[in-house]
Amino acid sequence: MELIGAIIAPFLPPLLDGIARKVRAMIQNRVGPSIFQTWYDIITLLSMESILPTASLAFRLAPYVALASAICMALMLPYGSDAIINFGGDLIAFIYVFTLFSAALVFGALSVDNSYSHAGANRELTLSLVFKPLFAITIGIFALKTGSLSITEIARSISPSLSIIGAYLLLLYVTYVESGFIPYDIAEAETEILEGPLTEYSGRLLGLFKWALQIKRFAMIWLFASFVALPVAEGAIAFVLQLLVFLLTYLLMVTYESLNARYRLDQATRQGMKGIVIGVVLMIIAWLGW
Amino acid sequence: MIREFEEKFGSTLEKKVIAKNKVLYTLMVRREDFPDIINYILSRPNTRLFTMVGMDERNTEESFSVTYWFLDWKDQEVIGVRLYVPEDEPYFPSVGAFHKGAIWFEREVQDLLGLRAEGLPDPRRLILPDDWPEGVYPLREDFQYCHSPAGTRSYPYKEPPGDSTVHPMGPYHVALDEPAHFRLFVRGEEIVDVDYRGFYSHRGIEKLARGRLNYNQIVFIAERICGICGFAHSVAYAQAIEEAAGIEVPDRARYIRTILLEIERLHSHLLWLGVAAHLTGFDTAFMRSWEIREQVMELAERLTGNRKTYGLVLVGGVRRDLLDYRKSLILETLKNLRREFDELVDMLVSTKSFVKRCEGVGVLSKEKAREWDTAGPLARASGIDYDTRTGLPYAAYDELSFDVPVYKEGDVLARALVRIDEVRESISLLEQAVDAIPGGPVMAEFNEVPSWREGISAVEAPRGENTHYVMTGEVNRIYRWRVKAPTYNNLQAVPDMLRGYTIADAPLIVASIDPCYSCTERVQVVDVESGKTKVISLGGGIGTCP
Repeated sequence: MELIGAIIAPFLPPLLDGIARKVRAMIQNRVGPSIFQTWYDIITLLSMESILPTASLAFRLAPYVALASAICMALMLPYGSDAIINFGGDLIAFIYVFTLFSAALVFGALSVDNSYSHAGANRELTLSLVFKPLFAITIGIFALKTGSLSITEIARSISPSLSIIGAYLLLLYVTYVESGFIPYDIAEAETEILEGPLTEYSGRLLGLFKWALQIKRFAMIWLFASFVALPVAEGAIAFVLQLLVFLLTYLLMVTYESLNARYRLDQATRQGMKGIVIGVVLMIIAWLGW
Repeated sequence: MIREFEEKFGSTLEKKVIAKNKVLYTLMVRREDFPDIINYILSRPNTRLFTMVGMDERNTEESFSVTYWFLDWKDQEVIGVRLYVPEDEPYFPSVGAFHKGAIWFEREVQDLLGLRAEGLPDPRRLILPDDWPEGVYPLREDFQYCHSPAGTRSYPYKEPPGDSTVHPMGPYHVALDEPAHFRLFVRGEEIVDVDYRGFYSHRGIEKLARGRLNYNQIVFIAERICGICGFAHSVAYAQAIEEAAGIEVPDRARYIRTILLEIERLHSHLLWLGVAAHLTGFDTAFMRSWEIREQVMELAERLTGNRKTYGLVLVGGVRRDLLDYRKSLILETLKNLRREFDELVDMLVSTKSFVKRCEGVGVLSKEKAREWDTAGPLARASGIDYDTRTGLPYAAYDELSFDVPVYKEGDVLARALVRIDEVRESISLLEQAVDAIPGGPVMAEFNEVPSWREGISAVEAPRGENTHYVMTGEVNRIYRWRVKAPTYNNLQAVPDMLRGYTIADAPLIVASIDPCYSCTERVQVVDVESGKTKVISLGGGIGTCP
């Protein structure tokens, strides 16, 4: 089961984005492109030469680091009852590679001299400073309640309580934000800063980045789906349930996205700070035993 | 306004009546009084600098001239103040030194005619390209239209203040539909100052019209100044000529013009709403808005044969009659439009993230809006109760009833709300006009347009007033045609609106004035292949260049 998961994890996300485009088109009364369009785009980009605006190695390495960390994130998650990479404490490693992804985006962007790309890096960094801790706090509540630091272990042994229900809601929120849906696509805002950190990327390197972003989005939502599905099912049934929860969450997020406008950075960080306060309160509740 | 002005200054000025409510005064003696006269007019409560025209009148008056035109929108009167500027001493006192709204006008005459305003705060080049040589003035009568002198490229951009860095927005940027170059001086994401360089689309359309096209050909060139509010330009031009020649337009033609002007406003405002939604990332509202707009485009096509650039106006009336059985088509479309538009507005104002992005952003105070002589929805969102349709009625507007929405907040949201209200007013105006349209001819009978007459007219385009000034010349040719689009004023206020906000807000703030760069810069068809202007052979080769 986990093998199937590991194989589909890198290849399914662009297809999901194709479906998202179709859903968005339906909401907007359009026909929309084929569901394979995102794949077509990535394949085209991968076959094209990248134009390098700088000699910096960081610029060329960043997309590979991002892709590697995104795939790593996906492999640490359970498909069915088990994950490919599964060891005590893999939760810490997950948060680490998750942060590495953002770091790759930022150092790639900062290695070129372009004010749009710097503005994007600045935004990504600011968002990370707010939402990465929020993610850690949320996951921390689960870890505290289940007494484990392994994602698969935690997912299997969640039992409902007051703090856990709160943590679920918070996790859903962080997942939405970190998936980069509008109103939180601030770092890559196209009409404002021309895709920010990606603005100087082209060809293969851009294709890798786009692919990596899709995989990261998949991993975030899959994590949420696992936390919902694994406590109630096992094995193949769990996998099917994960898939269902995932698709439902994904489609709801896409729908919500298309009914919203983008936040400004200060508005988003204010929302994030509120989240952190709620997270800390939940943590205390969890520590008290509820 | 005219009466008080006459009492105060009339004795020293030469008076020329252009129309019932339009008077031109020429300053022949005591040039030092000029700033006082202008100051007196501008200090009146409902007065604005309407347009400014620089002319090469060396053939007739042995001198250049600058004329400042003012509008009192409550008295519905226009006053012009003309000052002759001799060739050997091409200086005149600057109005821009004490009234910001005049700065671009004075930079323009400096570029095109070589007349220098003494005391102008920002005397940099405005219109001519960076590589145009010094001392060559294209609008002078002795300059050949086809001449293209070579020079070296340079432009004195402002230096970023203190510890700020330059964040260039343009000349090409996804959020700008046309070339324009905003240099944002930023500290982090905050904008501390702005420098603007535009007029990349300037193609010398006024020079082209001079002595080259006949009166009816210019109507069509005028319509092509803008891809969105072109009809307003062609009507404004035709009205100016009709005023100069004393042509009485038939009632039916006035109503047909009104109907098409309002249809144009509908499509333009719906387009703007879509763009605003898109810039904030709200693509669902963007698509919906443009989908609704499509009905308006189709309606225009059924009525005129064209979705845009209707080609309907001629001097003296309109080219096509409105067929009676099309009336029901208009009413049916409007009924549908009203319902769907209400749904769209509901969706927009109930989306918190959209409202949050617009509220309190890009605030322009009433004082600033007055200083820059802003027009249209931008002025009305800042509390200025000015609309050319009531301020200087034309076409059939004085026979129809409508409200002019005014908001006090002066932010992007207020501008959106003004436009939303105006869409509703336009729908009601159209219904009234279709109901009240009289029968009769659609073209006036007239013989020849007399020489050396002047006319000034304005039309409330979707973005504000399009002001056209004309002076007729000999052999059925125009002597001077001056176009002023609303963005000419509104764009100058943008740096004031950007200061203090972030680069995330910048595209939305710029878009909130609904900028039309080509209007401002007076564009003309360009051959993409060679980059040369193409319209030269129009009019059977009159005055063509080799």
